[in-house]
Amino acid sequence: MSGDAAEINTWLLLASSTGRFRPAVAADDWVYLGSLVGHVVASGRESPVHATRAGTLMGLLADDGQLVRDAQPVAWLELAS
Amino acid sequence: MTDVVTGPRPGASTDLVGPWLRPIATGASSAVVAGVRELDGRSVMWIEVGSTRLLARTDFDVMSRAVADAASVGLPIMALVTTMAPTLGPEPGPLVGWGGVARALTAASGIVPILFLIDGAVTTGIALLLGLADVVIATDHAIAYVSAPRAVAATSGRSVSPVELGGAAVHGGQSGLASMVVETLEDAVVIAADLVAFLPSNNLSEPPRTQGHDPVDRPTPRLATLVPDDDRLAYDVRDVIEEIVDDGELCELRVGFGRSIVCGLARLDGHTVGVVASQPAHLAGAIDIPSSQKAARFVQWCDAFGIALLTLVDTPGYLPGRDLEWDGMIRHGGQLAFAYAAATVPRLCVIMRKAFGGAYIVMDCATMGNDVCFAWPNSKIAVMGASGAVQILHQRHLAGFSTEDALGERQRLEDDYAALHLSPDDALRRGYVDAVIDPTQTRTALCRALGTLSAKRSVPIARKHHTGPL
Repeated sequence: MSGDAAEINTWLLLASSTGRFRPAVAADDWVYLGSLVGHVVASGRESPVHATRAGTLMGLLADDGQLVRDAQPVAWLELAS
Repeated sequence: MTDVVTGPRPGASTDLVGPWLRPIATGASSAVVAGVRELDGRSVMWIEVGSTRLLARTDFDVMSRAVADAASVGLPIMALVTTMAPTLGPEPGPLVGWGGVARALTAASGIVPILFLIDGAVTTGIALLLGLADVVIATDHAIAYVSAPRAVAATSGRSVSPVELGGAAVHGGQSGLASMVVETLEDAVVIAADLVAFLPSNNLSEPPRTQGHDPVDRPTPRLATLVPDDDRLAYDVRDVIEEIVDDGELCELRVGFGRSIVCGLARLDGHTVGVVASQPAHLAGAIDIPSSQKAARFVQWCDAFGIALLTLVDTPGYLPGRDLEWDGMIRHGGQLAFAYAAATVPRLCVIMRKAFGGAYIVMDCATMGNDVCFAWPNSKIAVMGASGAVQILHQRHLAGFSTEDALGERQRLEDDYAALHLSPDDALRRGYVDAVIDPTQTRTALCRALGTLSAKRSVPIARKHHTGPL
């Protein structure tokens, strides 16, 4: 079943678990595939959030310390061409 | 009106409830069929959308005309959708076509009730039409989303199934789109007919009044025990509603969304009433963003169609939370305040137990404009509860006691505060409550009050439209 046509050169980085998001990067940083973008902290345990594509980090979608759910978008990239 | 059809298209579900009366509009295509139909004795504009092919511009034109005709003659719109997605190709006609339907629905909004029954996939931007409806009834087979799973994967790598993205369970809970979720299309039609029975055909008609057999002076003895005196104990407010309204019948909407407030249609002495009730069984009845949105939309809808409001209050306040504030508790909380303050229909309020802080205000308090406000003898109307008040008012005083002695002193202060402030007496003296009533007489008091308010009218000052918090 198709949805609306969307041609967006954008990639969303998702929280790796539920907890407090702690960013490790800032807007305009270049991130490689696998770069550490931040952590999700819950019950003293840190779950790393890695970049799943390479590109320019255009902005964070969760603030430092914000409670996020598993798979909630925490940052967005403009993909490398 | 052109291209008048002579009957239902083959395979259409026209034998579900009643015969066609006067088909109104169709185009060259058979993907959309529309006409006036009788549903349990009520005429409605029946629009069927569904075929194995995608919709063309002409299909959308048919829908637009049917919606406009319904608004013109004042008939409820009932759109039954099995599949709905536009043909995507080089021609923009199908894509822009649903914009015309959106415009027609918007023009009809508040003039006639708009119901959508969904039994299949509604995808792409056209799914936004569902967001314009007053009521969406989804079957277990319904799926609705704007962007497809593959688009989600293309922007996040996240794999999600159509059902996970926009299935009936999603829209019955998380998204709040579906007012009701039922098993089959037949169930949806029956439920829709039940719902229409509560509603006027249009905003210029009175809601239908039934001749019930439930006496207006029927005592409600269960209310004396249903609500625990201990305000920390939960109960299901649906039991309270069923005790009060005619024949115990409540047609609840959006059951799985914004669960700390119950909204639904019922009758009092045969009059349709929209019930808005704090639900202590969920989050202790604290108002959050979904419950605020749900109640605001419902209050506005009832007001548009002349349906009196009955508000049952037992709320400890707004749900605290940083993320809640960040997500817009003020903006969305404002929607409920706006909806109540703007409502001109008869408004009855019963404070059953707790009515604290800002949540008390937005749940149709006297200064918001309710017409009658009853309180039960054990109700507590205050800025906050005793524990919170003592913490704020006597923090320094308590700091002077040893840990052991502070417990006793705190209890004494809380008891004093409760005796002085946590009763309806002060609110009664100040005119915020009209009468303290025995819970067992709640139905009688409400029916009598509604009777005296049935001729309530208001003449608003003319303006283009309000600029309220959408």
